[in-house]
Amino acid sequence: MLEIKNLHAKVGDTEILKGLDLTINAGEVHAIMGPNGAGKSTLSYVLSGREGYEVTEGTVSYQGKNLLDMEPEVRAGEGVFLAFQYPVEIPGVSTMNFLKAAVNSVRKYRGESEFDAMDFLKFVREQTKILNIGDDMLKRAVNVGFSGGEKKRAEVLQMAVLAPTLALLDETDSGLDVDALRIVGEGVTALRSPERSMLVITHYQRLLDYIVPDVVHVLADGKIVDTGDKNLAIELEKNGYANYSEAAA
Amino acid sequence: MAAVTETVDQVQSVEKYKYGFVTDIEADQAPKGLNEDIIRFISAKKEEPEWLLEWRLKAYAHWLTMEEPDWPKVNYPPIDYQDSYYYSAPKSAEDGPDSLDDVDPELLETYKKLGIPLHEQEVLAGVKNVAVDAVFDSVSVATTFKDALAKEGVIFCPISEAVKDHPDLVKQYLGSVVPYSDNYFATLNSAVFTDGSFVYIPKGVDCPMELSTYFRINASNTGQFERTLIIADEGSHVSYLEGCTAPMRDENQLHAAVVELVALDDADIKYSTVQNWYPGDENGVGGIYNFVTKRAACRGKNSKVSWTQVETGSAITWKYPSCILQGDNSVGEFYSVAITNNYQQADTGTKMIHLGKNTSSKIIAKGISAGKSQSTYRGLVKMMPKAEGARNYTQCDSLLIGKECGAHTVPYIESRNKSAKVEHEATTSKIADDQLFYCRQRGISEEDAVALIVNGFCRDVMQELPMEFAVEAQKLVGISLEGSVG
Amino acid sequence: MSNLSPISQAFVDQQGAVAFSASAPWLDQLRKAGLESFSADGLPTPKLEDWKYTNLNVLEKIDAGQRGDAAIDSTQLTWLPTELATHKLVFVNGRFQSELSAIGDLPKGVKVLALSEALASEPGLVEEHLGQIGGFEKAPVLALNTAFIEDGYVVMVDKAELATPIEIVFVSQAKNEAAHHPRNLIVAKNNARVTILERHIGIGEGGYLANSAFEVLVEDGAHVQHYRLLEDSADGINLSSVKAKLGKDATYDSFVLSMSGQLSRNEIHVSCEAGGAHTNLNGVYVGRGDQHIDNTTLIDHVVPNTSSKETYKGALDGKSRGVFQGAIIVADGADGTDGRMSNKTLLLSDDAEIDAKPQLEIYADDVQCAHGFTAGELDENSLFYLRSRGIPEAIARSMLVEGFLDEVVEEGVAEDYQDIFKTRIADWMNSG
Repeated sequence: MLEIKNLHAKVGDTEILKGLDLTINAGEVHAIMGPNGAGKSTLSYVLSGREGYEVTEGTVSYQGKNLLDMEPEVRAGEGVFLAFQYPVEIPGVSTMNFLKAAVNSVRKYRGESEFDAMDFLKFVREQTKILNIGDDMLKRAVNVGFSGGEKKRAEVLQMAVLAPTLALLDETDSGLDVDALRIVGEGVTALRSPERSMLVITHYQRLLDYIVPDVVHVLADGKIVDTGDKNLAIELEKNGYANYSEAAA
Repeated sequence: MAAVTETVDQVQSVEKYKYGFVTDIEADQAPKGLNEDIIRFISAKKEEPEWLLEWRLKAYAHWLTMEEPDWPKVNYPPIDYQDSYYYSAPKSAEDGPDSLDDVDPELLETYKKLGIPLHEQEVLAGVKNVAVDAVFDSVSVATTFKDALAKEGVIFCPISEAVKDHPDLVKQYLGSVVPYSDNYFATLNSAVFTDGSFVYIPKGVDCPMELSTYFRINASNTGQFERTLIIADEGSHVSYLEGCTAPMRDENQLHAAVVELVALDDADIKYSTVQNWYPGDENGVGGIYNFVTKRAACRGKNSKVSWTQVETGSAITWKYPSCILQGDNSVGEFYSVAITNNYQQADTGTKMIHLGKNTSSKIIAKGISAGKSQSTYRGLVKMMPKAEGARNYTQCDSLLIGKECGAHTVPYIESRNKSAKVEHEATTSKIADDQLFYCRQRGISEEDAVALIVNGFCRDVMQELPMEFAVEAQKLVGISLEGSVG
Repeated sequence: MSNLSPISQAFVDQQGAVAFSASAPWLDQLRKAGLESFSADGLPTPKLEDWKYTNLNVLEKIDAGQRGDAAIDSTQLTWLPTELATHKLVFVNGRFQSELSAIGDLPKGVKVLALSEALASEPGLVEEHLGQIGGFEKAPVLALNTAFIEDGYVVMVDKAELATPIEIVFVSQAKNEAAHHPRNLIVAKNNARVTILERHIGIGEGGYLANSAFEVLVEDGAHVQHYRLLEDSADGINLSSVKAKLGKDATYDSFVLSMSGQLSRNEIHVSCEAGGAHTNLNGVYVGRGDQHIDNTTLIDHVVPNTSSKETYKGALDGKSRGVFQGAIIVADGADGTDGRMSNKTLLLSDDAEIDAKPQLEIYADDVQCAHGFTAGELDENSLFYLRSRGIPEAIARSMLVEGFLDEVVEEGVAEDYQDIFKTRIADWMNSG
């Protein structure tokens, strides 16, 4: 499914990822944990194709294709979805309009028929009910004036309607209170399926109470330095990252 | 609260325009009026080379064809350029003092009153580490710390001396940033400038101390036309301070200076001004007309020029310290506080001309108007077609104190590059009643509370000033606003 | 007069050749005053501070002296949804065309008619209001319009709410007439409500000058919504001057969508002259090719407790040039003024240019005034966000540009009419 080999990437002149290896099979949920500055967000941006992140070495293949050669929208069409740590506000563009453009673009890429307005509304409403998102939120401009919880719920909604095969969740727990965390966690868990892999990037273990990972990795100084099962996350919560930081240094 | 109390104490401890004394010194003056002969006289007095006299005469000829600008938002009666002295030098200093012992004691007394330590011993004994060039009327009278600076290869001397000792540098850079034909007042300055400071920082040198010039207009009916030229060679750094005062007189005096800065590759220049020329009395009688041209050329890549000004003095201020951002990645900054009270008028701001790639500029301007004064921010941000990735951020805030003053904001923004990003914000408001009430409820008098709040309003700019100036500037805020409330 | 430019002189000569009826001597006086003012300095040049960024020398290609009549195909005039009922007035080259118009029944207290007719049927009312707002000082284009007052529309609403909007179509037909100067009058009093949907179009080839002027008087709780669409033809030049005077608790909403023509200069001066007066000035400008679009506004807060809100946004492509000059002036004693102004421009190409001068001039202390300005490209973060959701770059770009511009439509236009302008903006994006 996703196979990352010896990935090196830099931002400007600074090398952030320094030889990262990672393989995720279909249906698996992996968590990547690590101290601040380890390169967690960089990994999510490199995988989703953001400009300014230059891959200097290594390969990323996804379902047998070279992911690094693709434009961001092509990756989305291929099934890569990034839930942003800080969802971007887009004044003037209504959430509904945005969702429809996204869903139809992706469906077109995948050779599926595009929705007309009525069908789309029906389709979205099924999902909004589950995530406790009102019609009012769909009318507002994308992420503009949304609370932290609303923004993250909107991200999960996008994930639901875009039906990705690889979901990257970048610090999805940041800025959420316990109730919001639960709704988001349950929303994501509901989307687990044998065809869908997930990579959950987080600094804290608490999100993993709701989205239980199959594999946990520790990322420090641009490399995976440890791998284990969900108990590794609990250990980390107890002992912190100090050991790894020293090891990396 | 400790810091607050201290500020209040400082504000209270300083009386009204304390620099308003006149020094009784015999002066050597050129006859009143302006013509070619006067210019030849000035040039001869300065023993200038032929090329400089030619340059002055060219400027004068051009000036005669020019019209005084009327676009600034200031009003003043027509200036009679023939009714002013263009050269006035303290007599005893005519041959130039060899050491401080040769300087007229009255003059030293003057500078002592101004709080400027000229005696090197005094300076060395104190905590200050500032080299000072003092310009009295038209002539530089003393420069301290020359030797210490010379060791690093730094040249810091009166420009008249630089013309003799470093003619190649002066010839290369004089007028290269502000050409003699630039504008009415700069052209006049080019024709009649008498003295000013010259600074050259050699390649890679981090100037070991702050350089400072104090300007003083003493003689009556005298225009002061100083000319400052600072060149920071590749990889050098310098911080330069400028202070100005004048006696209280009931006629208006003209100050038309030109300052040129040149920053080469990787060099940076920080230029700070506390301008406290006599502003005239509370009825608007007297005061300095401060018509100044200040411009920096960020010629080299990664060069940086930062202007910081606190303008509290002068009857009329008309000045726009500017940056021409030529070198790729060069940076221009402008931090300004302009306070006007009584009948003062200030029309000030900056121009940031972006030519090079990834150039960036930042403008923080704070205007405070009180009494019957008028304060205008006028600025230009220009992104030229080749300024790929250039950035500008401008914040201009005005504060009004009282019902009869005015605050105006006139920014011009011209962008011809899509990758250039320009952001401009401006606000105008009065001191919030709840802030004032809060301070007064805590026992601070209304006037002190205003000074306190205004200092807070200006904080972003004040903190850019070197320490020695910051305290003085803070006090000035309080003094300038005296009588503005109640 | 000898130092006038040839084109200015041509206007003066042309006016002199036109004979006006002697039935309204006051009107001839008004025209003469306009002509005299215009004759003094002629057309403005960039030497004038207010015209620093806009040069009218393009007018040299216009034959000012040419006049004539035209016929028009009514199918070219449709621009509103067919289900929207309106009181419709059509003007071709500045003259009212009754056969193309459909004013329909008007409720009591409402007068909607052509100026040429009003001069005959309501001479007193017209005399009372025409030429009353604002002088010609520093307004040479308005002076020129005044010298040629002949026709235009008159809307007067007193104590009435007009639910059906008034539709105005100004057609410029270059082949037949080179310059025309419609003069319009909007008067709303005593809690009146009125909406005017106005479209300026050019039909056919060739250059022309459409120089319209509007006097807007809103008094005592009345509310005027004045929405304009400027769709001039490629060589057309559109100048317009709005002079609005607001009384107690009066509101004037202006929205202008400028999207074509060779050069347009849309000038709006609003004077808030009694407490509670409020104005919303909004605009969208889009340009490509070598179009030049100038929006110049001035809001005068003359008395205490008046407010204004202004947002202009633009998207400039090709070699187009946008100009925004906005001034808020708060007079001595006008405490409690709240004035907000914002101007934002997206530069879509390497050769596009925006020149702006957002100005505050404040002589009272108890005020809240602010302006903001930005210029630059589309935000990269937003673009990436959309693309990461699978939306192709080109579509993502137009969604962002439309979203950016539509915000002003949502802010400045009543909900019922927003789609008229949004559709136009979308069409413009798609035609690039």
